[in-house]
Amino acid sequence: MMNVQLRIRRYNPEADDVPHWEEYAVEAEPTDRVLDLLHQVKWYQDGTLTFRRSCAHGVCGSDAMLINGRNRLACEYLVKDAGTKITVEAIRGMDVVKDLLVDMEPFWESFKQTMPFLVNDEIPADGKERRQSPADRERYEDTSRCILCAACTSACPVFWSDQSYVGPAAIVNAHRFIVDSRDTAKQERLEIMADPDGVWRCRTVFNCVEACPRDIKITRAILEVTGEIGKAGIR
Amino acid sequence: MERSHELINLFGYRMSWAQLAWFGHRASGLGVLLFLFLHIVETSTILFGPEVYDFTQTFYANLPAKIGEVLLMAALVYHSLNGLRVIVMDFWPSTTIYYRPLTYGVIAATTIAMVPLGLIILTPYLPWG
Repeated sequence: MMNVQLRIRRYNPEADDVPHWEEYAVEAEPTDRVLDLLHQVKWYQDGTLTFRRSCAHGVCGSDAMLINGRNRLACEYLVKDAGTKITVEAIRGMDVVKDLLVDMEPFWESFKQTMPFLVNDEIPADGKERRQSPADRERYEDTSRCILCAACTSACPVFWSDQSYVGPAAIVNAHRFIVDSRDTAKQERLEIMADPDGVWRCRTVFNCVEACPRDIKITRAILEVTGEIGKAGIR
Repeated sequence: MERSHELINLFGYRMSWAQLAWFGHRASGLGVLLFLFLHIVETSTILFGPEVYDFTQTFYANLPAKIGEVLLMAALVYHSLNGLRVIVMDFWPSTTIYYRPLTYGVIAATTIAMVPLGLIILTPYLPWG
């Protein structure tokens, strides 16, 4: 067992004017996850601690947090990697509702803007299904793995300074359909991405790539979208 | 501890080399722009006659000013090389997979280039020069 000093940035809108740090001493196995430590605090020390988590296995993407100065999923980050002094705070660029819980609504709005669904009203050639070559399928393999945890968007300095930027997560999800050979709304998608608050605001900082728990090559996807906008002649 | 590829904690977020490269690009660009304004002011003094212009040039003929010149040169070299890195990634998105070695390469090339450049600029103003 290890003794871990857990520092959590707490904020209760009903009692606090500004967020403050609180420290908790917790015992942990090296193979415990940071999420287990948060559970220990919430279940045995302070039940008012508020955070989001659902599957707790790196699939649902609900527990992205700023841990030890970098965005990660609390359910994937092990104590043996985090060390005995761990700091946890809410992800940046979004309003904190309480403690580690942020208002994700603007994030979902950006996501919805990208039309995250296949558009094709044509009847398939064989009347049954829209076939795709393995090479065409491969083009969106990487970006289809996004779990919408917001670790990338909330790690982006451009997004920190201006939340009107759609952010890397929205662009990744736009890319997934833009390069899909079955989709018929490519032009419309590219026009949305060519907005002044769209893909052009990326400054290739690579914080998104460093933060992504699925190791998606986000900057590559963003630059592929800018390339597609150029090829389509959109200004 | 998972600390590789990470540097210092600036603005509350642990900075990676790639983020530092971006920050350095901004800082060097701003530095060069500020020098450009200074340069315009300094060369404009020719309008007041050759004596005034020659007098302003004496401000540059000392060691602190030459150190500033080395920093200016470093900013120019870094900004150029890093700009090329960004252009390469813009035109060939698949190269972004190698963003770490590309970033290290730009920082290493700037450092190596600044050794002879720094010596050329500074040597005449050093005690043994």
